[in-house]
Amino acid sequence: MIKMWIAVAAAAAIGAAAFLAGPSFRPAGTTREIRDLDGRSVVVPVHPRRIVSIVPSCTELLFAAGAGDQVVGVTTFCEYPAEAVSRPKVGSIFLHIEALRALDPDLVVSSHDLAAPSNEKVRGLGVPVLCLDPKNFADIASALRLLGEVTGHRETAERAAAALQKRISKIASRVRCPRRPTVYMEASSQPIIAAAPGMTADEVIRLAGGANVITESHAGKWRPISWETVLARDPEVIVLVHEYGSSLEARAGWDRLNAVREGRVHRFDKSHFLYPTPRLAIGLERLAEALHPECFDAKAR
Amino acid sequence: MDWNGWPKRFIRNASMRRLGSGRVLAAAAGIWAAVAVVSVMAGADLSGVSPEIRKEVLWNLRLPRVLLAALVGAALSTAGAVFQGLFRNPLADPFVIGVSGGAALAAVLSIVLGASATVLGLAPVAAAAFVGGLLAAGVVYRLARVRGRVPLPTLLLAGFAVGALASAFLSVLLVAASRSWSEIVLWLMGSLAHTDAWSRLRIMGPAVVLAMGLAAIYARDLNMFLLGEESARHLGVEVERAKRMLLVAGAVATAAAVAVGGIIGFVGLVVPNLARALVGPDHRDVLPVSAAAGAVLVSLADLGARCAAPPLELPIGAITALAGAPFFLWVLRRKARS
Amino acid sequence: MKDALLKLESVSCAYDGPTVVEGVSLEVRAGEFVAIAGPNGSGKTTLLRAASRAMAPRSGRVLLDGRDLYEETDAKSAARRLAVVPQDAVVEFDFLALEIVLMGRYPHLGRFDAETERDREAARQAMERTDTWELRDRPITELSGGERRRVLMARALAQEAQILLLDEPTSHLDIHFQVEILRLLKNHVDAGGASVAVMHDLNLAAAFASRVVLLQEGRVTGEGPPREMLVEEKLKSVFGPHLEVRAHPDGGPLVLPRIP
Repeated sequence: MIKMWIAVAAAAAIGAAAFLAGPSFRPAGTTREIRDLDGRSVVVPVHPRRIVSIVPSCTELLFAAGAGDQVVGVTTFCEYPAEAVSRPKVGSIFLHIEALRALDPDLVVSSHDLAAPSNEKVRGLGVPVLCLDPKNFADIASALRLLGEVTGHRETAERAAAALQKRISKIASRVRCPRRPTVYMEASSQPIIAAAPGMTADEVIRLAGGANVITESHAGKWRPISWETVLARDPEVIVLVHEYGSSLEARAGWDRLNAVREGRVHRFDKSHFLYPTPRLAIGLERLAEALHPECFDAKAR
Repeated sequence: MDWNGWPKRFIRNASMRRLGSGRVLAAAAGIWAAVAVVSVMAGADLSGVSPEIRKEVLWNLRLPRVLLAALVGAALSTAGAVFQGLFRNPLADPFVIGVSGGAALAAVLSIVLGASATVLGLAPVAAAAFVGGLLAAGVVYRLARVRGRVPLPTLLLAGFAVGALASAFLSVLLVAASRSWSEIVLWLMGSLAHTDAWSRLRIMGPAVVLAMGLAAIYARDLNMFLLGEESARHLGVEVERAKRMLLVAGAVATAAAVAVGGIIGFVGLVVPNLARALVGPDHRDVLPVSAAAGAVLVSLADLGARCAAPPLELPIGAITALAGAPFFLWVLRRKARS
Repeated sequence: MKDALLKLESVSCAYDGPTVVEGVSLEVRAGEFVAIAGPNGSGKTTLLRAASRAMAPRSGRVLLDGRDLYEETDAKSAARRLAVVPQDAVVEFDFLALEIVLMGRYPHLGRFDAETERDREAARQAMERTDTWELRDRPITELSGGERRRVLMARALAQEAQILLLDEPTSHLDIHFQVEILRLLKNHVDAGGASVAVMHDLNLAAAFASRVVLLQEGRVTGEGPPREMLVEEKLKSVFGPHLEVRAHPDGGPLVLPRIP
C-alpha cells in the first residue's frame, strides 16, 4: 500500500516537473522579434536548435537554406530532400500534436495559407510559428534569406538565393522570342484546377515565355474552372502537372483542341511546379524549353 | 353512375385537393425543357470560338450534362419514393440502406489507389462507386435476412450500421491518404462537372430506366406496404419478393445516381414528399411525378451550380437544398392551411 | 357434411422462444361463424396469423380448400379466398378511405390492370354495408379508431373472399357498431361464407357465433356451440374465478364479471 502511494507521489512530482519545464518556462532574453515575408511579427529563439516543419515546401526551404541539421521533425508528406524523409514525423496534414510536443521544438516553420488551424494549435503549446507563403521567385529568395537569418546560416542561404536568381535570369536571357504562346496549366483533373494570376505557377508560365489563358485570379491559389472554359479559350499549349486520374482522350472535345492537334501537350513532374521552393526553377527550365524549343536549339548550336 | 372514373375525378372535388398526375407531369416536362434550353445556352463566353469547338461545348458538354442532371434527379427521387414507401417513413432517403456509404468508400478507394482503367468506357471512380453502392446494399440485405424473411426495421438498422462502418473507413482513408483531399471532398459533395458525360449517360441511363421500370411495376405493392407488411401479405402481396424487387430498384437507381453525380443530398428526401403533397400518396402517381420533379430540381440546381458564381462551380448538393428547402416549406404550409 | 374450407391440422407455432400455439386442430366450414376465445396471451392472434398465411406453423399444416396454405397456395389466390381484418392499421400516408378499400381489390387485379367499374362497385358496396361510404373522401389518417376499423372491415369485404378472419372485430367500436359488424358477419355466413373471429366479448360471441373455441396457453381446451362452451365451470378454468354465468333473458348464456 505504501509502495503504491510512493509511486503515485513520484508520478505526480514527475508530472509537475514536466509541466514546469514546458516551453512556456523558457528563460527570457534568448528570443528576438523578426518580421516574416508578409510583415507579421514573430518572436523566435536567437539560436533555434530544434526546428519542426509541418509543410513540405517549408521543409525543402529549410534544407536549402542550410538549416537541415536543426530540423528534428517533418510530415509524412515531406519527400524532398532525401535526408528529410528519415526525420521523425509529426503527422500528415493532420498534425499529431503529441508527437510534435514530444520533439520539444523551439521553432515551427509552416504556411499560413495551407495550415492555419495547425498553426493555432502549435502556438497554443507556446511554440513560435514562422509562416512562409512565397507567391513568386522573389519571395522564394526572400524566404531562403529569412530562414538563413533566423537559423544562423546566413551565408549558405544567401548562396542558395543567389543561385536561384541566377538560374532564373539565365532562362530570361534565353527566352527572347517575341511571340508568347497561350498556355493552360492544370494541376488536378477532378476538380479541374488551373494556374491563375497571383501564384508561382503563373509566374513560371510568364518567365518561360508563355501567356496564361486563365487571366482571372483565385486569391493566389490554383483556380477551379470548367472544362468548357478551356475549350472556349483553346490554348496553344497544354501543360499537365498531375497524375491525371481519368484518361484525357475521354474528355469531350479533347481531339479538337489546338494544342492536341499540334501535339503540344506536355506532362511534367508536379514536384517541379506545385511547391514554392528552389526546385520551381527546374520547372521553369523545362517549360521554357517546351514553349520555345527554337531558342534553346539556337543556343545549343 | 355519377362516380364513374373515380378516384381521380372525385378527388378534385374533395376537401383534400389533389392534382392529376398527368397535368403535373406535363408541367414538369415543360419546365425541364426550358431549363435544358437555358442550360445549353448558358456558360463560358463562346464568342470568337471556332464553330467546331462551339459544337463540342454545346453537344458534348452542356447537353449531356443537363441530361445527366435529369437522370440523377429522377433516379434519386424514385429511390427516395421507393424507400419512403417501403419503410413507411416519409423521412427515409435513398441513402438509408447504405448505398451511399458503400459507393463513397469504393470511390475514394479507387481515388486513393489511383485506379485509371476505364470499365465499359466508364471512369474508374464512377464504376467503383456503382459497384460499391450495390455491394453495400447486398451486404445490408444479407445481414437483415433471418430465416428467409427480411424484417424492414432490421433492414433499416443494418443499413445505418453498414453506412456508419463505411463512413468510418472513409474517414480513416481521408486522413491516411489526404493527398487526394480535394478530389475526395469534391466527390463527396457531389458534382456533375464531367468531361465524359455521354459515356456516363450511356451506361447509367439504361440502369436507371430499368430501376424506374421495376419500381413502377411494383407501385401498387408499394401502396399495400403502407398499410403494414402483414396487411400487404393478407391482401395477396408476395411480400418478400416485392421487397426484394423494390430494394433492387431503389439500390440500382441510387448507386447509378451516386456513380455519376456523387452524393447529392436532399433531393431524394424532399421530392417524394413534394410529389405526395401534389398528387396524393398513390405510388402509381407518386413514382412518375417524383421522377419528373426530381429531374427538374436537379437540372435547375446544376444550372445554378454552374452559373451562379462563374467560373467557380458551387457544390450542387448545397444548391439543391438552397432551392428546394424553401419551396418544400411553402408547399407544406400551404397544404397545412387548406 | 360439407368439406372444410379452412383446416388446421395439429398446428404449432412459435416466435423465437417457446411455442405459443401447440397442436391446434380446427375445421371451418361454409356457414360457420367460429369465435375464438381465451385469456390474454393464450395464442389467439398467433393462431389467426397461422390461419391467414402470415406465419408458417413450426409443425402441422394449414389447408385451404384441401391444399396446403403455405406450400401450395400463392399469396394472391389465398387473398381471393381469405380476407383478414386486423385489430388496427397504422397508416402514415394520407390515403383516402375509398383508396384503402379499393386496395382490397388487389388480389383480383393483374400486375398491369387498372381498377375497373366492377372493382369500384365492389368497393362501394363494401363501404355501404359497413356504413363508411360517407367517409370515402376522408384521409384515413384523420379517421377515429372506430371509423378506421370499419374501413378495414370494408376493405376485407371488398376482397369478396369466402372466408373472413377477424382479430377482435368489435374493439374500438361503440355498441351500435359492435352489433352492426357482427350482424354483417352473420349475414356473410348465412350467404354461404365463413368467419373466424378472435373475440373478447363472450356475450357477443354467445349471441352470434355458431361455434366457440376456447384457447388456453396455446391449446384448445374446449370446442362447441356457445351454449355448451360458455358455462361457468369451463370459463372459470380458462379465465379464472372472477366471473359468473347467468341465463340471458333471450335464453342464451350471459357472462358477467364478479367483483369479489
